[in-house]
Amino acid sequence: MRKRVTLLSFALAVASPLALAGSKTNIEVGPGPTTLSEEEKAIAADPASGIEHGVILLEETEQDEDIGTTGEIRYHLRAKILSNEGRDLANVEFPVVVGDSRLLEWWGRTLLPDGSVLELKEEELRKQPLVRSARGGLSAIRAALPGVAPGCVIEYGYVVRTDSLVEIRRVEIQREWPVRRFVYRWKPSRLLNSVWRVSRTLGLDIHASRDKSSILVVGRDLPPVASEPLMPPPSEVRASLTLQYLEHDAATKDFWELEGRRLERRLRSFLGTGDAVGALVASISTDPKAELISRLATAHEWILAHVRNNTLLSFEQSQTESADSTDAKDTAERVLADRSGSSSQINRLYAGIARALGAEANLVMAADRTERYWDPEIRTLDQIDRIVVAVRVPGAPDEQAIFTDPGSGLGFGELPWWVTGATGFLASSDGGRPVFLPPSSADRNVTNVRGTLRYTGDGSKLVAEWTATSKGQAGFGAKRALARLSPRARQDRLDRICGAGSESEIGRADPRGLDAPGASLAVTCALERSAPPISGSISRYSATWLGPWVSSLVPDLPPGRRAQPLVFDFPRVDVLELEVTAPPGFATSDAPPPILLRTPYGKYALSVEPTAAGFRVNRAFALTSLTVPPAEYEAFRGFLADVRRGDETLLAFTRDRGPR
Amino acid sequence: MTLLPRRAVGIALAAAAASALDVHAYRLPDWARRIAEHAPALEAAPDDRERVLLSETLLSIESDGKLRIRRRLAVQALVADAEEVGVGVFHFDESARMRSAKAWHLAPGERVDASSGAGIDVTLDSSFLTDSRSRLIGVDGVRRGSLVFFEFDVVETPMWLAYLHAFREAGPVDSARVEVAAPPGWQVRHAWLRRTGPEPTRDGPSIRFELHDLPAVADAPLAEPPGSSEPLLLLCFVPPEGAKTVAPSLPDFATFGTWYETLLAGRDAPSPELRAVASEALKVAGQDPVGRILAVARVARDGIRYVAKEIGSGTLQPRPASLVATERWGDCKDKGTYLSALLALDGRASFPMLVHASLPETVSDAFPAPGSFNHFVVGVPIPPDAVVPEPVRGAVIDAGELGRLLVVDATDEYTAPGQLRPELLGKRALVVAGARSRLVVLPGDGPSRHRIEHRLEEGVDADGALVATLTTLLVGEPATLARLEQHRSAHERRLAAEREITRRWERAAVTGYEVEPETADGAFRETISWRIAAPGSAAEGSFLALFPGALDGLDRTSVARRTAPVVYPHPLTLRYESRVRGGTGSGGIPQGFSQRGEGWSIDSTHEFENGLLVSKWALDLDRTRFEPGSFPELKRLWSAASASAGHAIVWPKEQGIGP
Repeated sequence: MRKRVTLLSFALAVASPLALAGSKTNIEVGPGPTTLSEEEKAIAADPASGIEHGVILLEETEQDEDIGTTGEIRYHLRAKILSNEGRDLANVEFPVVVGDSRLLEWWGRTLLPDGSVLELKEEELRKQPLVRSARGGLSAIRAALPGVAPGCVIEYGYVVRTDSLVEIRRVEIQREWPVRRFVYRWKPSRLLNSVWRVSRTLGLDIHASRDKSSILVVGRDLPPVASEPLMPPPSEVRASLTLQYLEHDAATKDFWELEGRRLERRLRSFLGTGDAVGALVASISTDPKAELISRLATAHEWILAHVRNNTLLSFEQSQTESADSTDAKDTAERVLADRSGSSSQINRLYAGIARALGAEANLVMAADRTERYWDPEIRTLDQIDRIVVAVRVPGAPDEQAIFTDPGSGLGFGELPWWVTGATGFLASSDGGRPVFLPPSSADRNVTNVRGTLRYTGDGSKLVAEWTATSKGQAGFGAKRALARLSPRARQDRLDRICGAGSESEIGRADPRGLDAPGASLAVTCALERSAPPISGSISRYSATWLGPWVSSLVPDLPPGRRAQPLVFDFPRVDVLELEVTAPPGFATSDAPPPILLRTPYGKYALSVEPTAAGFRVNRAFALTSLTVPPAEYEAFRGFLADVRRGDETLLAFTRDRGPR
Repeated sequence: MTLLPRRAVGIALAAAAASALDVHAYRLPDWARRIAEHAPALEAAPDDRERVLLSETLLSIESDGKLRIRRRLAVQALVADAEEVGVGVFHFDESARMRSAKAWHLAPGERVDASSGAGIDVTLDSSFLTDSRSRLIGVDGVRRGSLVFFEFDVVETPMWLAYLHAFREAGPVDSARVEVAAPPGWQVRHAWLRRTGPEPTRDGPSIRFELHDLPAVADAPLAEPPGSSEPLLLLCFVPPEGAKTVAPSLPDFATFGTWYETLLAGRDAPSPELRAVASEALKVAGQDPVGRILAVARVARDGIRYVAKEIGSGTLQPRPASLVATERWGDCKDKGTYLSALLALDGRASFPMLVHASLPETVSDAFPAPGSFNHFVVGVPIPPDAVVPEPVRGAVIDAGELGRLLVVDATDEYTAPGQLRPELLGKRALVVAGARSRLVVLPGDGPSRHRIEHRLEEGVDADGALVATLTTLLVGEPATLARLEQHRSAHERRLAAEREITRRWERAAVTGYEVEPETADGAFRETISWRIAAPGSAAEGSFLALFPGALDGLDRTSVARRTAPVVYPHPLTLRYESRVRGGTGSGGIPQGFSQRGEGWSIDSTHEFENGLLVSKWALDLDRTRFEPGSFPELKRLWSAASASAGHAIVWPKEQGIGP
């Protein structure tokens, strides 16, 4: 999210609200003491508290971009090194723009516990090109601070003058290491409009102040942000500072309303007179007497079936069909004439059809929540990853809107899971408004597995055969990924899906439904694996029924305190029906009692019935929550532990003594 | 603030592609046009993304020894989304002068397009300090069937008068050739590595080496590292006597060693800092020579931060040891020279040794070439009567008149001093000793050097709970990898070990954890204890595997459709001893197991005595390479391993054993 802009190109822009001089935020960024304080000496590693390799004692930056048409950055870092791994923090690196940046000042030293100081002189810095062309480039200033060992303090800083500005800059306030003190002062150019935003500061000692020319953000004793499984993206859990220069429309506070109107205008332009869409609606066999929602669903199915999505071509299709030319007119008429369009065009076409059917339809801008959540305070469309469609009965509130995305290949009322569970911006002729994009319910994302598990005649091998059919989000990602792979790579992926590479040899791994938009993905697998020899002295034999055919082995989450919420991809249900045959020479013993678990997070049911040949195992696991707050982490782990215990239920067989 | 090279590459690739013009006033050069006229037909469902129709390198040796390199590449895009085929890359360093870089594109049914500008230079080398560059030149709009042609023209100043060419491209190669044009009176010697290549054809002053139909090498799990199997052509250039050249001619290893010693001269001179370090390191080392060598090796390994540095002559020449002692950072050459300086202060001679740390078969016995070596270790003579402890015997070589040498790698921060990573073992290395310099072969590998030994003790306490202690001893490469994790985060490693227990036994509570990252003999020892409360009902019974985690060190992969050999990184020994008190009785004792194959053996035994079930399991894997024809043998090994290590008892039922 970094864009370089030329200062002069904005010279005529409206003056920033931070236009007048002030001193409330003044700081002095310069070299720190050349001795270790007693407090610094006392800092020691405490891995359980996240202090393992080092502590950032001070990170301070003064970014003054109001020096005529140039800017200056003063940076200072002081850190204590606690382990050999922490020594790499002494590999200094900072970027400079070729031709635009000048290093004005440098200091760098290592303060050793015995009181000695090792300096790194400016002439020892190396300017290393990263990217260079005839038009300019980017280099890194690099150097290794000398004498670094556990127990030392490193201390360096620089002043760089530059003629370039960064349009949007995101500054991490929290790190993977503890930060004792963080200071950032930004003095934006008065020639440009600018905004700033401090995020994720709840519970942290972070304060922002401003005067008429600058802002100052100060943080103290900031804990490290450890990586946790299933946590939101790092950008959403670390305190950060965003600095932005605004361009044209972005300078206004109603940036998103303006973008909403713009998107609506583009939609209308795409739809044109509406004749083509109107004619289509007249030709689609939707029952005029049916409820509007039903007709919308029918139209959705029609689009999936009749308009080729050239953004979602399979590997084979992409080899034989050329992608649409970008020069082609971006109109509904053209898409209908070609019966072909991009994902974006298909969504806009569907919005037009919905309107023609009498529904209220809007486009909705959405962010990929695996990368970031949409932040209305950040005025840039760079946040938007997808445009989806909201349809509803005219006048219905947002809560009753149906969000859909035919351009994704999903069915009516489904969105790609990575935009759900978060807020998007609904565009309309009067601007628009934020709307929540709900995740689909678990019962729409179902994987159904039916299979058999049997022994070979000599008992030396286990043979498993099963078909896993996934609908909704459950098969969505895999289906798209598989379709795009070359035949060889696809077969490798299918083999892995069917359990290859562990202890099994794959006999079959065949997909169905890859080419059909909206269809479920079905994968039929067959594998063989070794069975341990069973000693003749064993009278009772117990076996597990687990294997790659269980599509949802529950996540393995570590115990202990949890700082971040758990975020899943989507709620889901996994159903398994497995016929298990007894090993040769054995017969079924008692079936274990059924298990039924119900929690706020999901459900689990396991039943084992004796059959003539062995057992039938029926398992159902439903994860109904999309997120779990940290406070409920242990309770959720408890549910998963109960599920795992259920999955460990053994099937017992006794030696078959034959007819008595 | 860090700018990742990857990001830079992304910017550059985009910019390189965007630099293409969309006007159509271009013509293909003759060499490209001839190829375009005979471009092969496209397959319907290709396995590869691109096909190299021609890879040609013309080396023109200038009279002063500079190398003018003209590189031509003709590539056919085989798939629709093959934009990357439109970007050509040439790697060079600051000593080189890029004269031109051009690209042409002929899409099916369209006119010729060409690159504009001279391209973009990016740094792709991951070294922290480097002068390595890559020139990218691009064309836009590449699609299935597109033909893309690249031509680079560069003048390089070599370190010495030699060249190494790897016949490696991104896809299969129809025709690859290297042509050398030498001034009158110059000799060009050559050597093929990894395969027997053709003799060159001669055309006046030029000689040409040509290969055809080179397959693409796909990445796969348990495969050789990329770049391991392609043919290498090594060239050595010998000017006429008296010729003045920009770089020396080093036609044999003795000459090379003498020259290299001049680069090292004085670099290991002592300084007060070095004396202080050596004195401290040797304070408690005793008089055993090997013990003293290992003591200073440990200091060189741990006390000097590794910083990758590839700049100019610094690619070969170390910084002075006295400077390294002060600055406490360096690359392999710096750390090795620092070690030599410390050894000298203990009155020990040592020899620099050069080896390739990653790729196999890069060293010809005829002459040295750039690229043959990329790593610096140290050979330390051991007195004839010195006792060499077993853990470091695998790093001792006989270097002929130079004596018995202990090879020490001071760079790897996670390998025990006196031990060598598998990537080095069995490789050709050069012992630098002036005119006495000689090639040696580093010791081969064996399963006993890389061991994972488990000892599991289980019993039932007074409350009926199961208590267990698992001690794992890792030796060799498994120890190195464990130390790497341990140093990255001891906390995370402990959590991972505890999770592994609770993952296997849901109701287990970990009661103790200890780790010794580096034992006196270089092993990694980890001990973890846990307790499982007695279940409330028989239905809560658990599997108690007798050898839990036994197969964790034996990686597997699917071979159903595999055409590349399966290659293990090193031989391996796995051992497990499980002692279960009050384990089983009424249900019987598991059956023993013994099976042998080509290069492997597996044995297990189970004995029940006085209420103690003692189970032992052993796997020895000598063999590391399984060609596709040997996959049935490999499957037999995996099958036997699973069958023999899969035994479990059911607790607390005590009446059954299952998979």
